[in-house]
This record gives sequence, C-alpha cells and structure tokens, in this order.
Amino acid sequence: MRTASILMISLGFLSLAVAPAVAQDGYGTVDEKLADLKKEPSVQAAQKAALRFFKIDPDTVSGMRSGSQWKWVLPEVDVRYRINDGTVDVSRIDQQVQDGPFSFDDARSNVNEWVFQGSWALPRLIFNPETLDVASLAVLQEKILKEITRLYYTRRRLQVSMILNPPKDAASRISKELRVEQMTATLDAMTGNLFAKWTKRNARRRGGN
Amino acid sequence: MSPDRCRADPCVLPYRSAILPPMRPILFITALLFALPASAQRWHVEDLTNAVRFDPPITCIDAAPSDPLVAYAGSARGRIYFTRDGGRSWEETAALTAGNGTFTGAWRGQVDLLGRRVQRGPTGGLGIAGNSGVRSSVGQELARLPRERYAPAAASPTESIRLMIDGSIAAPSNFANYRLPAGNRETGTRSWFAARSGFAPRVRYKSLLSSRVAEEVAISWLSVHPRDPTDVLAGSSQGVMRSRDGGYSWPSTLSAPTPAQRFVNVIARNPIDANHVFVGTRQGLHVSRDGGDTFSSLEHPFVATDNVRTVVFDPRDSQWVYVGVSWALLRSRDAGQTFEIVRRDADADFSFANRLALDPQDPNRVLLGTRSGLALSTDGGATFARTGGPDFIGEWITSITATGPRRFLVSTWRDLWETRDGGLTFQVVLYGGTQWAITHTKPAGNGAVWMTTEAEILRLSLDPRAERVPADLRSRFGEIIGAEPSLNDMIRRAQTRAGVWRADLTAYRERGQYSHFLPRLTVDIRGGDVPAQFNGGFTSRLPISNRVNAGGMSYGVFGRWDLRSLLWRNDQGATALYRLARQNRDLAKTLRTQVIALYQERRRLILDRLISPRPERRTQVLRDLRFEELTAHLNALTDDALPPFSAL
Repeated sequence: MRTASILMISLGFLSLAVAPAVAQDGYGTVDEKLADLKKEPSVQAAQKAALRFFKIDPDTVSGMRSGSQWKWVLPEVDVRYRINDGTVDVSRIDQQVQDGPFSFDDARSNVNEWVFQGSWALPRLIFNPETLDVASLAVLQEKILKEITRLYYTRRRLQVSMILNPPKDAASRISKELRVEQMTATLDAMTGNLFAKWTKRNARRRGGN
Repeated sequence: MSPDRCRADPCVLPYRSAILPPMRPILFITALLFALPASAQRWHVEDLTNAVRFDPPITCIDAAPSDPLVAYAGSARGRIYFTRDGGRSWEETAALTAGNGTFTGAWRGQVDLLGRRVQRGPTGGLGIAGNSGVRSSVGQELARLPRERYAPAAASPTESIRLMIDGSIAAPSNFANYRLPAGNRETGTRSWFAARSGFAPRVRYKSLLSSRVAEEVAISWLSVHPRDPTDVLAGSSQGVMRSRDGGYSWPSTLSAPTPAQRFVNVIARNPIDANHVFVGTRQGLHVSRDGGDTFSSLEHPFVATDNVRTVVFDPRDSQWVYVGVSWALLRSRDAGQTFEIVRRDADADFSFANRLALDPQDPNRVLLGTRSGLALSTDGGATFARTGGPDFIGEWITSITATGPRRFLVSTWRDLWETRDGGLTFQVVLYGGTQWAITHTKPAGNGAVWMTTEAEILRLSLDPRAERVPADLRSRFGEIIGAEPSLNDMIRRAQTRAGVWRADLTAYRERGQYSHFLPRLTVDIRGGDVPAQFNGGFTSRLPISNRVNAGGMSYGVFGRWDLRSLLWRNDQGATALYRLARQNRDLAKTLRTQVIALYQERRRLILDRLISPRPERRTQVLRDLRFEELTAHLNALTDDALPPFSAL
C-alpha cells in the first residue's frame, strides 16, 4: 500500500515535470514553439525597418545634420555672361571744307564679358540654426521607436501567452489569433511588410525543402 | 525684505528641487535595497487579464465579500465583466450605453426579465409588471400589443428602459410560437425575446445583443452587496445602475440633468447597514437607505455642489462618515446631515482629498491620499502630517486599501507601495511599466487584493512562504548594475544621438557668438574682350580705319563684416530660435523621462530576478520578455549602450 502511494506520488511529480514541456495541441513542445518565435524578425530588425520605412533612419538623419553643418562650405555662385553688339554711325558737314564737306565716323564693337562671383557666408560654418532644426526628425524617430517596440512586444507576449497558457475554448483562441494577426498587420504597415516578406521567404524555403 | 516675502511660497514644493530628477531613481533604488528586510513577505501577483476580451481601459473592480470567487470589473467603455472562479475566467455581463441621456441596457443569457407577474394591462394590451431586474413600477404598463410599437415612457425618469415590441399576437393566452422583436427606440437596436408557453407568467429574454450607440457610459465604481453577490451597484458617467441578477441587467437608479451631477466618483456602503449607501459625484453627494434603489441629495453647502472624491464610513459608529472633496477632508457625525472640515492645506493639490482609508484595528489612524502625496493622522483626524517622503510629493494617489492592521497598499499612477507600520515607512510592491496606470485596488478577501491597471486585472496575494532575501543581494545587485552604464550616461547617449544633448547645444551656441568674426567672403573674377572697329573720314577721301581689340581678366576678393552682429544677432535671439529651442527642450525632456522610466523599470526587474530567480515558467518568460523589451528600447534610443538580451 505504501509502495503504491509512493509510486503514485512519483508518477504525479513526473507528470508535473513533463507537462509544461509538452504542448497541449500536440504540435511540438513548448520549448520548440518558443524557439520558433526566435526565428521571426527581431525587434532590432523591426525598429530598423520602421525607421527606414519612414525615411528617418539614423544614417539619414545624421547625414542631414552633417549636411546642414557643412552646407556653407559651398559658396553661393553668381555667373554672368554679357554680349554687347554696338554700332555708332556719325555723319557730319564741315562748313570750312569746300570740297566734300561731308565726313563720317562709323564705329562697331562687340563686348564679350563674363563674371564669376562666389560668396561664402563663413559665420554659418560656425553657427547654423538649421542644424538644430534637424532635431525635429528625432522627435518623430523617438515616437516611431516607441510605437514599434510596444507593438512588437505586445504581439510577442500574446504569442507566448498562447503557447504557455493555451486558450481552452475556440472563441478565446480565435480571438487571440485575430489579435496577433491585427498586430502583425500593423507592424507590417509600419515596417514595409517586414513580417509578410519574412513569412513569404520562410514559406518559399520550406517549399524548397 | 518684508516678512511676508520671506514666507515660503505654498505653491512651491519644498522638497522637490532638492534631488535632481535623474538622480531620484538611483537614490530610490538604493533606498529600496536598504529598506528590504532580511526576511520579506512578498506579494504574489497573478495577471488575470484576458486582454483579448477586455475592452480597456479597465477602471474599477469589486469583489463580493460573501463569495471571494465572485468579482466584477468595469471599463471606461461601459463594459462590465464578472468572474465566478476568482478571476480565472471572465464573462462580459453588459455593455451599458446611453442614448439621449437615457440609460438603456443590453443583456446576455437567459434571465427572467419580466418575471412572473406579467399581466394584461387595463387597456387590453399586454401589461408588464413586477420586479424582475428591469425596474418598473408595479402595474405600470410598459408595452401594449399589438397596436403600439414601443412602450410608453416609464413614470420615473430613472425608469427609461423602453421596449420596442413589434409583432402581432393571435392568441393572447398562448404565445408559445412567437418571437417578439424588441429593442431600443432611440438607437434602433433590435433583438428579440421568445415567448414560451404561457407567455404571461414566463417571458424570457433569450439574447438581447449589445447595442452600438454613440454615447458610451464609463463605469467608474462598482460596489457588491456584502451578503448578496448578485446585487451590484455600478457608478458611471451616467449615474448609478443597480443589478440584482448578477449583472445581466442594469436599470438606472440615479441620474441627473448635467454630466457633472451624473458622473459618479465613489460609492460607499455602511459596514453595519449595507443598504445605507453614499454616492459621491463630481457635483454632489447622494444617500440611499434602500440599497441604491432611491436616492436623496444632501443639501449641506460643503457637499451639495462639490466634487466628492471619496466617502469612508468610520467602523466605530455608522453615523460617522469621512467625505473627501476637491478642496478638503470633511467629516459628518450624523450620517451626512452636517459636516465639519477635518483637514485643509494651503497647497491646493495637497488639500485635494482623493482617497482615504482607516486602519481596521485602530480607526484613529487615517491615511489620506491627495493629488500631491499622503497625509497621516494618528488621532482620528485631529492633526495630519505629510508621510511617505518625497517619493509621493507631486504624485496623485489613485487608491488606498487597508490590508490588515497597520498595513495599507497605496497606489500612484505608476507604482504600488505598501506600508506595514501604519503609514510611517513605505516599500515598493510593484513598479509600473511605461504605459501602465493603476486605476483601482480593492480587498479580495483572505488578505488578497484586486488591482486594475488600464489594461490589466491583477490579483495580489501574500506569498505564505516568507522568502529569504539572499544575503549577498546588495553586492550582487551592485555588481550587475556597476557593470552597466549609469543612468546619466544613458540619458547623455540618448540625447546626443538625437542631437539635443544640452552640453553640445550650449557649446554650439556659445561658439556661434563668435561666428561673426568671420566675414562674408566674396570672390569676383571677371573676363572678356571688346573687339572694335572705327571707320572715319571725309566722303571725298579715303576712309581711315582703326581696329581695337581690348580684353583681359580682373580678380577681386571682398570680405564683409557685420560688426553689429558681434554685439547682437537676430538669428541667436529668442524670437528666431524660440521654436527650435522649445522643440529641442521638449525632445530632451521626453527622452530623459523615457530613458529614466525604462532604465528604472529595467533595474527593478534585475532586482526582481535576484530576489525571485525561479518563478513559475509563464511569469518568468513574461518577465524576461519585458526585460528584453526594455533593453531593446533603451538600446534603440542610446545606440546599443546595453548588452542585448533574449528572453526566449
């Protein structure tokens, strides 16, 4: 009797130890399912894709900032070219000349002139308010980072919760799956279809295999 | 200087400037570490949120004292949920909606809406009477069939449930085969209830679907009857509703003409007589002696038109009641007939009596939560002193719950604190995330506490096993955080990355003052040629012809100094840089706040992992996920200042 109860308790512990590792729907263990999640695009990839999608990735912004700092190295250039085609005809009568008093002057000239003028606003090399204005993009950057990170992990938590604590009824499960889909779509909309592309690539790879 | 000018300005908080904002969390965590007792009984937190089904923000919760497994939760979108298994599963009982200021309801499941006392009306139509969830006067004819399509308005303005009956009835004695469409006249919602055999005694709502209407009802307070878990009062933005059938139907029992008069802040039941109920609204205080069916307004000038924030009965005497209003704490010794001012402060925020709790063992110990921290009285309200230290100054106290003798849980928007010495010292129980706001806490029986945040329903219970805090906790924690960048480093990195690090900006602007020593430089290069021909002479002689070809290049370099700018420049002035300066300052502030919040929460998680290294699997994964999220977010803001972390 005592042996039987020890055996039953041992079996109970064994089942408790094994239970968390086995998924309830039989499509792999919990650990495998959790590991599968790691194959999805990482949060860093999502952040980068979102910033790139909104054209405010750090490289672009720092490029704009340094561009605004150095823009005054280049001068304002003023180039001019002028052609003046001039003719002067002067006819005169000299009363003191008896023979042929009519005289004339005829002058023709072509003026070709070119001017090159370059102006450098050297003070702007030291202080340019436009450099400060680039920070307005950082506001947008910060907001997008916050939103994308929040969305990414809300979705991830829901996925983990579905693995570790699978819904008991179909309504809850469908509802949760819909919510995951909704968040994936929102992430896609903000990252230029990062997740959709990954899914497609993944499916192609599986198909290839 | 006159003595008046020497007096401290009541609007300026005395302690606030003493600690620089970025330093506060560090001091706070250090203080927390030293405050940790060697053997601390810790709160076990269960997240009972089924986020998919809830319609947040969740605003309030209350448990049935007679059955700890039953609890109700309300949301700001008019949804009320209930659980009968201690929060493991939740069911939505109702979606309360309002149309044209009239309460209407939606019900789920089968309920005896109309009860057994359905009778034929005096005019020959179907009269519906009885008390069966929808409150209607006995004998009041609500509907006639078949000629009238909806029920006449009820006599009382609170009985505005209207049924739209649409159907013909051939045999009044037997309606077994009929389905009768019913709905809300204002919103046009249509549903149906089935008439069973013997219609008159057994009308049942089968399923009246939730209606979609423009105006939502925000549920702000729930109060379950201490002996009957199916009798619930719901305070809302549209007044008070009372359900007597476990939340299936919610007839309105208190309404008012203006939104402020209708918006319920608090419902309090007398602990000795549960039918004695106070309802505090944004404009007025009401009392009911029949459990919330009828109310009368209190006319005392202190409360008649004031924003009543909290009402708490003194357990020693059911006639004694504390009432917190937006400008003071009041007390009545005659159940609301007269009031006296118990406490008022020069600081309006510290005067704002938002929440109050009495020590269950010593009701002379009163803990008052204001819009700027906590005040404690140990002499029944005769004197109050600020308590809780600088961590609560400027913080809106959202709830106070007594969990035992000298023990209180106090929540601010972000954090949950606990005192075990009657309000003298406080330890942190839970730290909020960045998008987390505690909305309500209520006792759940057996020492447990229900807590709602904007998106979660949590149940806190004391872990019966007193956990040993590891002896080397301080050194291990110090080691871990010592290896990571400091908070100031993180803020600097985030602000530098965004281009708003103040030191850089200041240096840039200072350097800019000397920029006009440099000139505006112009280089001028010109060139060209002028070929010319001159012919002249007398017409009678040979002409004289001259050819001239002039040409060449000219160079010039010009510098222009605007010496006036050395003294004052428009582009550095307040007007020109105002927008930029404000924008940069706002961004710097946003980044600072955000980095502090993320960093602070991350450190708390590090501490939590040290204290409870091996919690239950789900808790551990979710905690690690949160840690990963915080690390990833901080890294994105600071260009990877922290080593990456993966939870899975």
